[in-house]
Amino acid sequence: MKSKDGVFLVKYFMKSYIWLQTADGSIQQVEEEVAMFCPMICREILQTGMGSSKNYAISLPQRVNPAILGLILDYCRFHQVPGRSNKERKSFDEKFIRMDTKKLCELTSAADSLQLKPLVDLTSRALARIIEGKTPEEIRETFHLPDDLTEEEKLEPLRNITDDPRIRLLNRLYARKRKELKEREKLKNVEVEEERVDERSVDDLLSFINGEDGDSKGVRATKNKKKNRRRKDQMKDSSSNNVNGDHTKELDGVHKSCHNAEADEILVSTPSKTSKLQDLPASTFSPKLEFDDGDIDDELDPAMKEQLDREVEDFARRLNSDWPERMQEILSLGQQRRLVPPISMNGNGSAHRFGQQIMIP
Amino acid sequence: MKRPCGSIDIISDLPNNIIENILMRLPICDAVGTSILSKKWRYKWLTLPHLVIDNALGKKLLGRQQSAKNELVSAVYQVLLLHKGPIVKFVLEVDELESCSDIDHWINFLSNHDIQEFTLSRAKTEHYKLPSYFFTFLHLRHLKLRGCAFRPPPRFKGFSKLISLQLEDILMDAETFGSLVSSCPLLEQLTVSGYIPYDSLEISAPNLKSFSFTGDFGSICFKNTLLLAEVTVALCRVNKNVKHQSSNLIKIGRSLPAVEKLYLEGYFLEFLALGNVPKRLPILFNNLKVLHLDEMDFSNLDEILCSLCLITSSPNLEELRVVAYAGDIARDAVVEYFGTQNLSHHSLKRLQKVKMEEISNFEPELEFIKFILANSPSLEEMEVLRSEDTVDEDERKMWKEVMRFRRASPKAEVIYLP
Repeated sequence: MKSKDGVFLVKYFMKSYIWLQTADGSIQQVEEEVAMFCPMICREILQTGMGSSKNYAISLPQRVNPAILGLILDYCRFHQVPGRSNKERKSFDEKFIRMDTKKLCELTSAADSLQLKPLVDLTSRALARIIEGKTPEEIRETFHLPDDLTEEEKLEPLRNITDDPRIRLLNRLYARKRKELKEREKLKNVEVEEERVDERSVDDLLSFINGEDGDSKGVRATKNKKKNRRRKDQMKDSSSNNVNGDHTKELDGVHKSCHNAEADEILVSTPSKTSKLQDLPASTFSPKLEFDDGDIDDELDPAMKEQLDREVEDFARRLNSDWPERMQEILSLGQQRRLVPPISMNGNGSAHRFGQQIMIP
Repeated sequence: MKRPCGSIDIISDLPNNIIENILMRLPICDAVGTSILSKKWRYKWLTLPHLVIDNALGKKLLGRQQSAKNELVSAVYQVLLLHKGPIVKFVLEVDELESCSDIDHWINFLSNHDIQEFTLSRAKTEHYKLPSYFFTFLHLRHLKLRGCAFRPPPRFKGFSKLISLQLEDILMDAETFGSLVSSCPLLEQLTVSGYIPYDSLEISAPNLKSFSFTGDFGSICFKNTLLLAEVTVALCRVNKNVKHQSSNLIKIGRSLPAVEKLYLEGYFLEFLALGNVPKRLPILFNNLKVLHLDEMDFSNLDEILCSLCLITSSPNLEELRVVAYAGDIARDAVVEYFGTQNLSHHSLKRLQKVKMEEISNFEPELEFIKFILANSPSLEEMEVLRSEDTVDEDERKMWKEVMRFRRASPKAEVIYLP
């Protein structure tokens, strides 16, 4: 008995312990090798030297409460042992994640804050398995989600897309970039044909206000040659900066016009109606054009427009819907939209639908 | 403080990277479907950087036969159009996929993203011609294509970041293939399979570590493949009428100094045996650890010589697997060969595990087993699986003989599986 105690004490003193403090103030100590398995704790120890005693316990992120910490340490304790086979680890993992969903979510969050990627992946996989195959009602019940979308919203969940703060930020960046490019264009134009540029923008403005396509078209034709050259330059520019932000905005406006008109289907709900969204691909997918910032301000040159029309018609042939009229509507709206940006429109009636995408900074 | 039971949302406020991690593990239908769960979930799926549209979705929509294809096409358009943000990985793997101009549109759309991982796989007989803007996916790191025609524009200079390439049933000529491989300097993994025969294939890839080919070629040559460690070739046809000046085995062996695993299937062993088979290779396969000879024709003396040459030129071979094929080419010659040879002074020092399959009571096959047993001092296990054609009586004979063979290794276990 005595010797056993002696052995135990020796073992205890030989081990190195790290002190951890959770957000609620409670402190616990953990074997060093177990704690070091967490990248965040490991970094703290190495960089700041904290954790070696009770007074200098490492403060853990808020998302880690004592119960969850216990679970995480169990995970670390098992996996930090090097000699385990893949089979053993897998088997442990399968048993480990058997817990109620609420705990699973907390565990995911805590593991993420400690940067323990393998555990984050394990719990995410488990959560994905829980979600997969369930109906929306079942999912809401499992995770206690509020059923706060209106029936209309459920059919068209993406109508008021600017609700999302990230999208608003993207919008703002987009607007700023368009402004910059407009400045650049102006400088270039000044060199070449100053007068004409000014006239054109006024014309554009007028035709927009009048809701006409005719004038703008005429104006566009003269811009052809110059535009082609600029497009090449700007292709380089736009592809190097911020492509994603810019063209997503393009999409934003374009598909919004469609959503406004018709009830859309989202994949999960009754996929019986083929969406009018199919209209869009032709215009949206015309090569590089849509995504070139410079060109958005200008109009399509006739050659491109022809190709666009051809694509559109090809499309129409394969789909049986009241398509051509919709297409006309969208195209004309699209053209108007393009004319909007040079002028900071704010809540003007016809611009409103598309004005959402141009947030005035 | 009392919390009303089960009314607190436990998941929606998790950090975005976790939500994304979860959504990316869901099939596309479920991921998109989360947008009708609640206000907070409306846009969560839109920014997923990985989009995977696969056969599972196809099957799901095939409920209504007629409009199924339109449904799928419409679904892809919707997903692409609603999506926001960068798309890093795009997988479109639907066997039934037909409408080619739709795919054109989708690829055009994707060419504005810096796609790093792209899969387009379809199983219709007509090959889909990849449009010119596909060749602007210059950030590609992983590419898998199936059922496409690959004809790059003249200004295409390769995918400089490509690490892995998988081509299945691709319509392209040997020259295009050769220049594609050599213009992807970072390529580490290359898998090619298809019915279309190539005249001569050239593989020039300094970083290539693994190569697999299933199909038909007139000849193959490896250039600058100093890191190639795993080679699998399943050749479905060999042209024996072409005169070979030098041994194919030597030619190819010379260009694979680092090979560790060699899987020779179909007619490839016979192909290697063309030209004169040497007794031993001038440069040994010092790194070869695993050798599989699938469908080795034991009635073909050239193949036997070739396999023996390979085995005896690989001093560090650890694992050998041979699937026998008993043809009718020149049985007598082979039997005679084994009769005259004394094959017991080779030393396969590292050979530990051997598996012989489809063995019948054919003398050359048994002689081969005898040879292995007599020359492998470290052998631990030899598994012998008989072919189904073997008659019971022959089987008994076979088994008796095999058990009699002298074993160089004291711990060798000969396991006979009926």
